[in-house]
Amino acid sequence: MNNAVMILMYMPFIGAVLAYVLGKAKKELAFWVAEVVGGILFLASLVIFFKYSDSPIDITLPWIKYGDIEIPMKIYIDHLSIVMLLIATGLGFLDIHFAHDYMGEDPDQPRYYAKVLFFIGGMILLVITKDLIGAFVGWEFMGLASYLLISFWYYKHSAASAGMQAFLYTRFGDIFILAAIAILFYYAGTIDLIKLNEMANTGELNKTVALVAALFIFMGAIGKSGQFPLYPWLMNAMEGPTTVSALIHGATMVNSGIYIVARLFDFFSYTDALYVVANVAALSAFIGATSALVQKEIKKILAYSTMSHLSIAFVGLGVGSLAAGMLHLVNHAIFKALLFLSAGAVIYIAHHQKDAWKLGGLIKTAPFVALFMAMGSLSLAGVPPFSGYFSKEMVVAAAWEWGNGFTKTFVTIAALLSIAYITRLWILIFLGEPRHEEIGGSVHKPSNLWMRLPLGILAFTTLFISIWQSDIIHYIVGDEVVEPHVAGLAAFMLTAMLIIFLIVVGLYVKGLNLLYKIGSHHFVQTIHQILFNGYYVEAMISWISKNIVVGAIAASARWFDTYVIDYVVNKTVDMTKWVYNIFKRGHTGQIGSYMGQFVLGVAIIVILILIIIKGL
Amino acid sequence: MSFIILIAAGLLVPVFYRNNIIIAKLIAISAFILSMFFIYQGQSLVGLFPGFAVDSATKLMEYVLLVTLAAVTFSLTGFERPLIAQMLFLAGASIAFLESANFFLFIVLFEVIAIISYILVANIRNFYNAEGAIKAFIAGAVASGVILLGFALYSFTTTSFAYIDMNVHGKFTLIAVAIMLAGIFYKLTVVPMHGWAADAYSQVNHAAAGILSGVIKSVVLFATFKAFYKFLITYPFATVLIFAFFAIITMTLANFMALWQKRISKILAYSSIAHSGYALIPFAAATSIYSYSGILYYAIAYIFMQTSVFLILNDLRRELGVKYLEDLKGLYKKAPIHSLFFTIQLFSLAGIPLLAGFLAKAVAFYAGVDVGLWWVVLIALLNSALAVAYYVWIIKHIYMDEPNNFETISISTGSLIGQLILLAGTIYFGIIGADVFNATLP
Amino acid sequence: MVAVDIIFAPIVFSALVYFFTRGAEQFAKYIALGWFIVLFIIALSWYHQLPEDGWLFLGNYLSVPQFGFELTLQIDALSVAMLLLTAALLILVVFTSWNEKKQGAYFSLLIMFSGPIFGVFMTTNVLWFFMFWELTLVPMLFLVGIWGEENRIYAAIKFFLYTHVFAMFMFVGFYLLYKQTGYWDLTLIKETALVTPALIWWLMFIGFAAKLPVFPFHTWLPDAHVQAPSSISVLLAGVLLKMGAYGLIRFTVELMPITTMHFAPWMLGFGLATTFFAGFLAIYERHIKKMVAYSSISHMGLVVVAISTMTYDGLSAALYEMIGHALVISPLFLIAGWLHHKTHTWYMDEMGGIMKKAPYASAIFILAGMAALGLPGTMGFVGELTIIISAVKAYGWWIAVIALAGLISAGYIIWSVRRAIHGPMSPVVEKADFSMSLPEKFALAVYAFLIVYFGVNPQPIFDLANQAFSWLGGM
Repeated sequence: MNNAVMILMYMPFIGAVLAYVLGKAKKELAFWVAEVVGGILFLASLVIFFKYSDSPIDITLPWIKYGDIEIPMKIYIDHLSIVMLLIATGLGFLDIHFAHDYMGEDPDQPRYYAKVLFFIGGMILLVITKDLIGAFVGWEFMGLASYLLISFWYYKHSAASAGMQAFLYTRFGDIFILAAIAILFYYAGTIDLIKLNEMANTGELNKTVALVAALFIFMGAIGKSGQFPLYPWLMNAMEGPTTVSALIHGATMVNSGIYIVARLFDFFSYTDALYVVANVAALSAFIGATSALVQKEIKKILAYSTMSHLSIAFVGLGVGSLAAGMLHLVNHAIFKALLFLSAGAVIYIAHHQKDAWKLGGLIKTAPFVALFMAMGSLSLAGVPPFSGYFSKEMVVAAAWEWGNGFTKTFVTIAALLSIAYITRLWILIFLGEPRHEEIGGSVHKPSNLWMRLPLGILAFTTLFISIWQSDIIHYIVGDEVVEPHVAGLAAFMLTAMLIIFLIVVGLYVKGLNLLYKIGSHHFVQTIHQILFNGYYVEAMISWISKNIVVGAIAASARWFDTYVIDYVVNKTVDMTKWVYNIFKRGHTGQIGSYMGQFVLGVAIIVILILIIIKGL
Repeated sequence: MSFIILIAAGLLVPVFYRNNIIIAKLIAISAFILSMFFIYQGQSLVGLFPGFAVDSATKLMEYVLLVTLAAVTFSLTGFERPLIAQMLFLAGASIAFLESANFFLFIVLFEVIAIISYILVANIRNFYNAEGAIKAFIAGAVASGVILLGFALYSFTTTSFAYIDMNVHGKFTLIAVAIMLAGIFYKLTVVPMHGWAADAYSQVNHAAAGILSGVIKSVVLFATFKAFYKFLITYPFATVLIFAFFAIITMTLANFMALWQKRISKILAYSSIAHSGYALIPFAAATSIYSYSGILYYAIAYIFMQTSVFLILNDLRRELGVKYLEDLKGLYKKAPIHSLFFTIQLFSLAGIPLLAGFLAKAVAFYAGVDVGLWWVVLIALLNSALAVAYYVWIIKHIYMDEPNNFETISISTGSLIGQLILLAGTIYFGIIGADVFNATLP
Repeated sequence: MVAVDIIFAPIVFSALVYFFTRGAEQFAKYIALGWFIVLFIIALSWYHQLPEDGWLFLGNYLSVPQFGFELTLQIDALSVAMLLLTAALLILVVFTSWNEKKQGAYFSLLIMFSGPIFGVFMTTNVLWFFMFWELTLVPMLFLVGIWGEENRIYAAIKFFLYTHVFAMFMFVGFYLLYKQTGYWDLTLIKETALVTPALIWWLMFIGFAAKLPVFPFHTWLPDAHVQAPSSISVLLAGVLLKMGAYGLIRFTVELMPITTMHFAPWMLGFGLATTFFAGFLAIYERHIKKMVAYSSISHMGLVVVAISTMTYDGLSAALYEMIGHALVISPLFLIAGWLHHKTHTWYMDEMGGIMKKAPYASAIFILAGMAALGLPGTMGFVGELTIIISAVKAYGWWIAVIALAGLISAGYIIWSVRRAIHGPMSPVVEKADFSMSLPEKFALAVYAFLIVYFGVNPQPIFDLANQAFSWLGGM
């Protein structure tokens, strides 16, 4: 089993190098290396899953020892890690598989597969390490990989900017983790995640310090998992290839924030930081869900839905139900990967047309894709018997049972709205007539092996995983799970969802004209604008960084440097010139004036001597 | 013995140099070597004449003096041939001056050297030379007058002229010494008595200027320190006050003046004045045991580097007509060997390590720190850093600018030998400080 | 005898190399390369000879007992670390300046530079230390002034004068130290249980601070680094700046710990100010090499913060960051200079889309940039992590604000990548020919390898650090 762990740890990076090097020699090899490595990784995860005995795998490797400080590299694999591993490697593998066609025409495939493997490696590293530094390493690896993948088509302005934005936003969160590491290292004496939980349970930690550390770690999670206010990068990240979006949103990166909170769940509950988590997440869920309602691009709708659903998972954690949060994370990962890959298939079919309003009627050309996407959508919407239903229901119930008014209101709204935007999306893509001339004519045919198969697997999974919902919960959390029960909630939710569903279907299938009419109203337009732009959070952050950080602080530093410090240094030259001009007056070249100076000098000496004599 | 040999050679040389400069040079150099030998034997003047004394520091100074003059002799060409005889006389007088142990001899020899220096600058070829020579002469005459006045005053207060018998307890002594010092300061080009030097050094023949500013100044510096040592340590407060004051104004003013000059010789003249300022610090710190080492080290280092730069400038002036900074542009292409020597010696003047200029400063300034004058030393060090600006500015013209024309010159053998001797001195005393300390400290 | 030879031989040797290769200048670089490899091997052999703790005595020369002045050569782990770094950078510099013009003179000056720089790290005599310290400036003056960019003369002279002036303060500090203790030798001074007045500490600190450079004494650096040819920028940033940090450790922390303890808050303040001020300057900068230069200053600020903790782990972190900084900032300088040579513009917003035409250089730039912003797996991360941990341990939780440095550096690095490397191709880039010579590629690859290798496996450097600072263990 240790071999499997080592494979998981090193294989992705070796694979990344191999994929690049071999891919440079022969382009197809890049894909095959990635495919094989992805497969091996998934197999290794499965091996661990099946061979796992009762006690967690705990390996300590030496890393740094400096001064009085020792920082080992610790590996720790328990049920939580295994679930995350299965998600990361399984979905990662399917994603690589899917890319065969989707990225088939791209000349830069070696680069692509190398980065993808690196990305998966980062996620694996995150979930198998025991201490915060190891987690931070994986965390940052993903930050780098996402940066490189989002700006994969670096020659496009938008992609390059989106990559930069993704990196900086997540980095903003990450430095808080770095700070938390330092604080915990000294004040708690450990950065071992398991130990921290234990210490929290025994109450050894100083509560204030722990709260600061927990909030700092949550800042990192906010950055990575796209919570308010650091979410705009998640939407702009859609500039990358769609397979990358699937990877980021389904398999890897955005889950990491939830993972770290779940991993430190006891620590977070001990410090009352969960209260903050729940509230921030509820707000984010609401923002995501409402913004998703009005987006045009397929991928942006999905991106906002990711944000909203991650927040729902966070709410689950935040109100104190680890089970609900993690379950939703697992389910979300699967159906979101499915949705993104289906979206990828749609985009592939439609010649990279991403605007949902310009698609339409694709059900005729791609019925299977439509079916799979519908299954994903239903799961996302939370329709039984799809898996999404169970977890979402559980989170909402938990929020009703343990959350405060703000949390429960917002998370319920967000949960209900998901059916609205996803139905809207599906209808716009697949029903009606093609709204764009390009779509009418030739389309790419999705191949069975490379596109439909992974979609099918995912659709199948998202449906049938419903059977094992409670097993998953027990697997992750243990035997004692307090399941929330709110009487009548399920009925209320389902009814509300049905109503919303009918309204959306009505509007988008039959009542487009009505929709346009409503849309043209001034007030609705304003709201539309606000929602469309994600509540202008991005604009605000850009304004702050542009005008305050660069325009005010950096510019004044520059001013100070140029006109005070360097000015003084350079002015010494003028100063010497000035002194020179004064002294020069004494050097007339005439012997007479020299004699005068001579007398002056003698006088000075004599006067000095006389003063001294006086003093004697 | 050395004295006699040098004077005899000085009388003999003029017979030859009109016809055969090689023989003249050979005679001069063998005279220098012989006199070194006799100094080594302890038979320079001591033992032959009364009133002279010699210690190991003086001997070291004399060796350095003679080596430098030999190097100058090597590098002279036809135009400067009268200098050979003059240098022999100068060497004789200087040795006597350095070894003199009483004020009467001190004053007499001071005058002798002054007269030799007037003769040195009398090699007049144009208007500028004449102006410089006249300035040097008039200034020297005034200085002589003042120093004699001081000496006359002094003679009333003392029963013996010997340095060690100096009567240090009278007010008249103080005034007399002060006036003598004023005259000597004049020779040492201390501000504000420096005006003549800035002009004279830059206007007379460069070889003569090298001897004037390098050799004679060092000799006067060292001999003065020896003569007034008793006074300096008896009145430490007066010493610090006078010398620290003059040291600071001298170096500061001279450095600022040098910064903006266009004529290279003028820059070097002001740099020479600034160096007098640095050299006054060991005077101020006379009570420190390092003051004597400091002054000796400074004199030695200064002889080598100052003489060398003026000699190179002399070559450049003669071969390439270099007068202004502009003319130095791209010199490394036109005269690579000259450039190399020039650069190294300038770095030495600037106080860059592994060259004599640095260690001399390090030792001389340490004396200042030793008696608690760290702030004077700080000012001096900052001044020397400021001075780097104009040395580097010269170097910038040599290496970093493109030449205006592509005339190239090569160095003559004599010049090369002379420069190598001076360079060896600069480097030797820049790395190995043991000799100076062994000569001055037990 | 080897010890003293490798200091003085190159100084003499360099003139010979210059004159003997006048006809065939290309041989100069092979001579230089050979010599630097020899230096590296010698340093490596000293590394293996190091005693468990304390000094490896190499010799005693040119003694002047009256003045306590002699060339004492002895080294400890800190010196060895610096020597190895210096030799390694010199070797790489030969590769990166493979096609430099006027090679004879260029490589002779490099050879000449290797003497005093080794001397600085090898001698324990304070006066000799100062002499070598000053002497390193001379070859640099010429290297910057002759081979530099368009504004080279201003930069060279500013660099020379500025560092020279501030060295003078330090020199007075040394004088006062000698006066107080009567020794020029560090190891002897240390035994006198020195209680130093504040004056000495400040004089020395200013001297080292200007070299490091610490805000507000930093203005020589952007000019010198930008105008110097890139390989020389590497030496300036990789070696000359380290002299300042080395001096700070040797003279303030080791020699007068009590006084330093007293002024540690000041040092911390200077360090933080440097880090943030330079970081913001880098954000504002359009000029690619200046951006790198400010980044370099910013990282040296972190080193000062680490040194100011005065703890075993803090100094170890400082040493690691010193080496990390050298290896990380060098490829950035090299590529910045290389881009200028190819595109003939300095401004990042006029570049753009370089990735397409020069993927190799762009990849290395991104990798080194990631190291500069402290991405795990690179040297930058380990340095930043260890520094922040040590600082929190020494000063309390609030010092965790230096994590912000990681954000600021991310800001300028990523933004510069966005402007210069990514994005659509600009006309300037379209015209340019981005061919890179094999030696340059090789050197960049070595840098990249070292950055990653020591980032993943930092223990060798920390072993040296542990050896160097174990005497602080009890504190």
